[in-house]
Amino acid sequence: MANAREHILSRLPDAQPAPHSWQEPFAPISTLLPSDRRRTLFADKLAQNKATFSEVLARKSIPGAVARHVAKQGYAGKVILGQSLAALPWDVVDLECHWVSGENDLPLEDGLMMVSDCFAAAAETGTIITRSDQHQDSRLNFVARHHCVVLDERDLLGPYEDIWVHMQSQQKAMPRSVNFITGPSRTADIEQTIELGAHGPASLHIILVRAESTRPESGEL
Amino acid sequence: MDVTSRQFSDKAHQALRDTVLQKALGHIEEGFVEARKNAAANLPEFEELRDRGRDIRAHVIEHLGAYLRQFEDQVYAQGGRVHWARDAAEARQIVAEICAEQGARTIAKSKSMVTEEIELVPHLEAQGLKAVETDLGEYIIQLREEKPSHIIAPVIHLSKEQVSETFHEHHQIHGFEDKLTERAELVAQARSVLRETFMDADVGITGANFLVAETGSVVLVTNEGNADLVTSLPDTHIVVTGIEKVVPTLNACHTLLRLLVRSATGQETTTYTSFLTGPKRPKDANGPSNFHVVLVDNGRSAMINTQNREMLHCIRCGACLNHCPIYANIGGHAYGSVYPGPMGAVLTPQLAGLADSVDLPNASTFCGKCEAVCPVRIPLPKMMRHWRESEFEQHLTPTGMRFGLGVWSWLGRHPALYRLVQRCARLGMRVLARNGWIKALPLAGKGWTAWRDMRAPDGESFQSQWAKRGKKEPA
Repeated sequence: MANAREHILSRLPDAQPAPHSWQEPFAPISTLLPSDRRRTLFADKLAQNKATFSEVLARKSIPGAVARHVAKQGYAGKVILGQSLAALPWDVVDLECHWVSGENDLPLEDGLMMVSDCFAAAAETGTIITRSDQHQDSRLNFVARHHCVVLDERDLLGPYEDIWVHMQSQQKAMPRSVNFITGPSRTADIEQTIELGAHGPASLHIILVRAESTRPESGEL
Repeated sequence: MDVTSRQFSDKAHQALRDTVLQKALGHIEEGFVEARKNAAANLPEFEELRDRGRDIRAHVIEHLGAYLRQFEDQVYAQGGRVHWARDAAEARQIVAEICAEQGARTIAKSKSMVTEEIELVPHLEAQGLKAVETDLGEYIIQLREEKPSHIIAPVIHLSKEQVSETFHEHHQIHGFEDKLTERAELVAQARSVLRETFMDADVGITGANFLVAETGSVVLVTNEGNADLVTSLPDTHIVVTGIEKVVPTLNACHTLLRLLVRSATGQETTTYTSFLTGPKRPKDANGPSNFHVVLVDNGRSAMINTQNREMLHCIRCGACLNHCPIYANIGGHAYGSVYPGPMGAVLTPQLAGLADSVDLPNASTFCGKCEAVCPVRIPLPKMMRHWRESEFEQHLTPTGMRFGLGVWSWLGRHPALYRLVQRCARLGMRVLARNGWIKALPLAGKGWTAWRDMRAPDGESFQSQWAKRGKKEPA
């Protein structure tokens, strides 16, 4: 089938686009929000998409927020933690934690609570974005029954297009996988009625770590 | 592409009498039509985005070869491989060979209309492989040995009770012996059964919603998350998709994604949108070791220089199906093609031949709704009209209709006679009418008046009124 390629290409228009023939699309103006409105829109969109949301003032408070979420869910099993969260003070909370240390170390059975980081979020639709790398096992986003994601407010952007600019400021190469996730897994295949937890997580909780610039003066949330 | 579209008329009649199907189709209005309307209304720039979407798709097709080469270069640069298939048989063979190279036994599949088009799963099963559809709807129809009846909602024709029967029949070997009555229970049971497939699979096969030329990325949208398990658990990922799916840039892709999802399900975005670029990097925590993209032509390149070129702009949202009064009444199976509804009425004759699908371009009232909701403004009624012209030129039209059209055409070229016949017809219809309505029309067959009466002509014809006004614009 070596010549299938030549056969197909010979039948297609092959002219290179002229330098100015292509107008790169840009984000709709309604998605371009000032940073102070992003958090509000993000929270609204999360609720609209059936995800839940809490805030902390510093990364060291993440274990406490996870513990509160675990209690609220009535979850009693072990909590699976992504590698990038290992340095946090998990000993201050009463959780049975399991840190994923390698490719063969992620439990794939159903029913578990898993906690991971994301590298950005788009307020446009309440979407968190994860990317694969040496510390991020992308499977964790999909095999969990309950997924809890940590987002740094400095990584909360407006429209999708800004995600790629943000990523390129950190790395030039495209990661193997970039996953945009908006709410828990769902299906409406049976009689057009939405049921959560089709194959991926049945619940999604976002813990937002507030940026210094937007922290309340009282120091409390 | 094998089709059973010659049976369209019989199947359409059966569908109209099928009360379970009629009830199931009743969900379309609330589930899709209202949701799309609200989603479009909530994005101020939606109509402007449709123009941009149309322009992106037209630009890509104008430079399709160049963008496919760029995409191919990027996939290789990231460590993946690209395969080219002229037709369905070549595509199936390529996929089977990759599976054999990997020593695969179990394959997890996510939903893909191109794999339906090339009938990939039956071919893999014939090779002794276990190929399991993991999208809930596709999984259900695989168990029932049916075809999808909608391009994004494959089991829109089924009731909860039918799904329950199917699971009860097929899931007892998995230890599920009770018959379920609740949707949530059915979804949970399918999740449990399919989790085993995800974990066992050696190869994952997906389609692609878009291919991004600048990065070599494959873009997938799902709500269930099955495609993400298919692409992150097995060690080999094979993408099977049409050559027309390429877009120039990530930003162009986002413009089309905003249109696709709102037009398809009425959501602002799907739960999962994944950009997959090559195999696992050396230091990555996980990912498939092998990444293959199979670019399928299967009649697409032949559309470039035809009246159906704009059909290559289609992004497979299904909005034209959801808004079509014909589809809403007969569902997808009557069309006898994996591509039903208005988009299928244009695409099926192209892929399977007009002689085998001649009824499909005629299965339209030309209400224009399909074009009115198409996210990339494809002129579907115009293209169906082209097929009707081809049908007449190729002598595929039934003799009676051909004679009638010939008489009408001849009269149209003889205006004086046309007006005379029109006057006679008007008088005749007034004679037939009772209280202004006609219950049976001679020469028109039973079809027209079987379900409704015809209004008798009221007053003078448009032409005579126009002549009396001296062809002047009304004041």
